Amino acid sequence: MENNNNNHQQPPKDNEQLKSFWSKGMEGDLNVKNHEFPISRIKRIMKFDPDVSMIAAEAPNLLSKACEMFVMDLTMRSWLHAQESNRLTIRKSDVDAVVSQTVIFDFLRDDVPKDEGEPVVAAADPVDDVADHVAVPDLNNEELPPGTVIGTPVCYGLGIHAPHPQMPGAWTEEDATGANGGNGGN
Amino acid sequence: MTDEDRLLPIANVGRLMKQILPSNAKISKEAKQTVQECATEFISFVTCEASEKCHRENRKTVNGDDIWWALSTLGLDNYADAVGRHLHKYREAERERTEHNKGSNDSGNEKETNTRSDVQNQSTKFIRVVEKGSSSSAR
Repeated sequence: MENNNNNHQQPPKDNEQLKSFWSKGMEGDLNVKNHEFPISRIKRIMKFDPDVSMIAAEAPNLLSKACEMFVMDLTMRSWLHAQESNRLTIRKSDVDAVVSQTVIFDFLRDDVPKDEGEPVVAAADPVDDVADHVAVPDLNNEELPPGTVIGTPVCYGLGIHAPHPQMPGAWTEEDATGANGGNGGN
Repeated sequence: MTDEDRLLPIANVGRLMKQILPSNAKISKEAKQTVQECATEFISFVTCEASEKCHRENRKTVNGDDIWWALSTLGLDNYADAVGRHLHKYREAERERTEHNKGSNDSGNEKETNTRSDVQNQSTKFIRVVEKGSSSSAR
């Protein structure tokens, strides 16, 4: 799947508030060890992908930080959407509308189930470059069976990754070959 | 595995949402649940992009650079910039901890330079650092 989006990513009127958000958001980086999301849970979610075999300790750490930014970004845009209707409460329809209208959140639209339980009336008109997406994705939790990840990502597997019988051997192998990593079994 | 276990905790999501909003703002329960599901999907999607890169390069361990690269590929440039800085700070903190352990344990490990070519070695070292504890980051 290719997601190269060069379109403008946000309406001009929102620029100032979002820039302010990103300026403040950066300050959160100062504490390397401060995590809002439990690392163990993030690691478990990462392992839902069958292609993921080993995870460096730094990876869930970084994903935790990226996910914090994602939640704050999505929340800020949803709040702006609610404000356009002069409301003080963020509704599900605000979040759905933001996902539909924001280009950088394309992957959420492509991967969620398309069927809707209820029609969602978006207060704002859709942005021109997403005019083909009339339906708002319905993220109703009840539709998914237990243990199912929402909208399984489309993975372009490049062949079968052969498992190594001994984990310590794999590490030794990586040591021996350095930056190139292991190339199959020895 | 219950539905609750496969998502990020909704309390953490709700707390984060409140942090970014004005004090008079309110969030409906359904909105929190939707953001919770989107955040979980975000992690799965970034992980998938990162692991694909690993396979293309014949590596088995998803590391921080792969996460950074995945965010850039997905067009999330603001996220990639911040994560890049965070990764740098993380590795500095890990190096300090490793040197501290080395000093106290009096081991004879050779020093490593912090260049891109050592990324794979660093990943291996990080796994071992975690391995010394009770939990393991490798499956």
